[in-house]
Amino acid sequence: MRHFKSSASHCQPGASHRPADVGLPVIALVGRPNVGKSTLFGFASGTYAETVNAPGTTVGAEPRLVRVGDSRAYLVDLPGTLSLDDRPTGDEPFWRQLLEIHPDAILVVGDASDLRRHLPIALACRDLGLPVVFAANLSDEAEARGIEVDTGRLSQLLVMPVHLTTGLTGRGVVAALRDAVALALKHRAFLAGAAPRGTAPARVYGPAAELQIEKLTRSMASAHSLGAAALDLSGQGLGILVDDRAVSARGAATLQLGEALEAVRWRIADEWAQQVERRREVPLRLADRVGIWSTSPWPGLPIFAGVSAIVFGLMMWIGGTMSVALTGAWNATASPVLTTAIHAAVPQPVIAAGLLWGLDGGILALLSVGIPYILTFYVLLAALEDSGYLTSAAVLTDRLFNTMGLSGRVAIPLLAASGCNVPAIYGTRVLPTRRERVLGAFLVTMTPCSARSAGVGAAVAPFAGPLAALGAFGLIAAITFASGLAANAIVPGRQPALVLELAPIRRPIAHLVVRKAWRRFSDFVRTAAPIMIVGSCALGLLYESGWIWGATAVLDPVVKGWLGLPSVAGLALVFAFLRKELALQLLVALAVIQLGAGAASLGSIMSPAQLFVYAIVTSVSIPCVATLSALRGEFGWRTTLAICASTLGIALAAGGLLARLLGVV
Amino acid sequence: MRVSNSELATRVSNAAGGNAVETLVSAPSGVALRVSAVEAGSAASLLSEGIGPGVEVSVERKLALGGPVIVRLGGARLALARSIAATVQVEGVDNAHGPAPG
Repeated sequence: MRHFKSSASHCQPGASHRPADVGLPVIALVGRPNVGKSTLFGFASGTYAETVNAPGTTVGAEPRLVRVGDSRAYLVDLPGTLSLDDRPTGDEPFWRQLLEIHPDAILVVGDASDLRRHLPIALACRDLGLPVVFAANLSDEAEARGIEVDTGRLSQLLVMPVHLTTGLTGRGVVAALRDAVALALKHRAFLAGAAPRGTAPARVYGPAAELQIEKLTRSMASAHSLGAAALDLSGQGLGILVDDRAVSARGAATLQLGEALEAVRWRIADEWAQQVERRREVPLRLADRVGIWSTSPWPGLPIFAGVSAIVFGLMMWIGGTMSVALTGAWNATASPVLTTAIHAAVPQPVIAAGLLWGLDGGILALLSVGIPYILTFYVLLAALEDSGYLTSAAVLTDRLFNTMGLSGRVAIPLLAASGCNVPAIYGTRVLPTRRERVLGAFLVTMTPCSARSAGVGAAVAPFAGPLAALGAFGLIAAITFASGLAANAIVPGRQPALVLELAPIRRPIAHLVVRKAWRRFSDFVRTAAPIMIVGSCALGLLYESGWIWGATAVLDPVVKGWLGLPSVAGLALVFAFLRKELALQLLVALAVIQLGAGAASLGSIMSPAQLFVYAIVTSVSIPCVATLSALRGEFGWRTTLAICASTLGIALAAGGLLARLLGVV
Repeated sequence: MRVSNSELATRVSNAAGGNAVETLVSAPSGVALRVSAVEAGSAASLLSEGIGPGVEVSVERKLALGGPVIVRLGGARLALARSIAATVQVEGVDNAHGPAPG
């Protein structure tokens, strides 16, 4: 986005002293969420941006060079928006994002089977004084629903080219783009003074509203002559945009009137949609029937349980298989080579061993957890998103999560969290407000990931029995739920009431799913891999140099005094911050160092009750370093530290109480 | 049991004692309804989803335990929290006497 802004400023035609032929025309893609904009964008540009069959997931603007015949243009996919005033990314209104890229034309993408709800934004774009082309997208679905659109009539009404498109197959896309590029070039010529402005659309808002627009337009235009500095009528920078000629004075006036015009636009859209749509009765499509089923308690709840079980099962099965294969391959091939090389290159054994922790151990962790589980989950999540099922699941579980101040959309990130917290943190982006996202991320960090679950199982089941292990998981779930309730009560603000469009059920397209999953996965590897490797290195040096033992004195009052655990368990808890999956192995390794070979079994270090306490505290306390970096990236340090401090506090409080209940202390 | 639309419309306007205002929460499911008014607080967010005075909608389902109300309008389906659905006043649409479509 930032990169594009600078390139856009080179090619933007706004300033009149700049020759109009510098750079290429910019065409913005605008439309409501979930209308197949990104898929259309992908077809047009030959690459696939993130597409999600759930509202609001295209983040940031991404320009792509497209070629239509002899002309070239930049195509920019903007996040789906409900109106120009809407704030799809939470911060600034959409119109600002749109005008900041200085589009020369707008391609509005609407749903051919639901024109009523997609024409208002086309009307709003038309008001901006920029050329607009309307793509009635998803035309294949519209036909399957028995809906025919009279594009000729619609084009007359809108005073803009209208095309029936199907982004997936590319039907109509090139024709729509060709029109958009041609109009964009004409608009540039107009800005350069080389051509007259295109036909202005009829004034449709009625005498009262038009008078208001006219008045505001005049004040905008006269302010324009005073220079940009004096322009900021509304404090929104509209004047400057008019001065830049990113928007016409009338356009700025309609933006300033904002919501007042929306009601009129919707009325007009309703009227026009009725004029251009022909509906014939067709039997309900299977996909639409599945959509209805999936939001009914029956068979919706069994479907939800089944989908959850399949996602979890596939993640564990495919992830587990891949994990074993990759770990084996690494240990058989790269690991010995790396070990020899590092020992040869670094003469100091302590530093060499520390480096090996980082490179050998860190990469192995990535291969055994990161790639298998996270990649698998991303593929499953992408398939679920594109199938449209996520919104159904959100509606079905909404009531449950309401109690914790969350909407049902958090169900899927939480499911992800039981595999790995890191993708789940990014998954909280599906939540509409920052408050919900923070509360959701808090629950995510409390949810035991697969590594932590394995740790809890291995620490408790062999020594206290499988029932105790089950009890431990139940206790963690109860602690998480109670913490969710408390967090909702403590964090200021309240949850906005649900208004959610249910995405239609669609068959996910394999190559789109894989592309999206891969894109997100490579993002994850780029952010998490360095932290995992550096963290492992640091830990390795602490361990190999023996400095780690210095920490026992600091930790003992809490670990021994409050939790009733041996001090070596405190060290393992610290290590768990870096590598949750190693917490148990490290505990044994440290115990052997401290207590001798007799401590090689967990049972000889701690009593079953102590192991139970240890398992709860490890699982609930601080998230691992990769989760921490994901949290920091999404919410900043303050929130991250607040979440970590809360989980640590809750873990210690619960552990201490438990230790007293179980008679450990 | 199948009931004609006009019969249902009468039922809607008669339900809860004649003149009482129906909302998307109190109106029966599966009946064609017309939005008569939306409370100011939620008007903007509902309008941006297409729910405003004069629009024809129907309630598909009300989820149990105070869960969301699923509303159909045109081809779209919207889930509305009860608190939001309660701000949308509706009246029955009587096809026999209403204006002819188109």
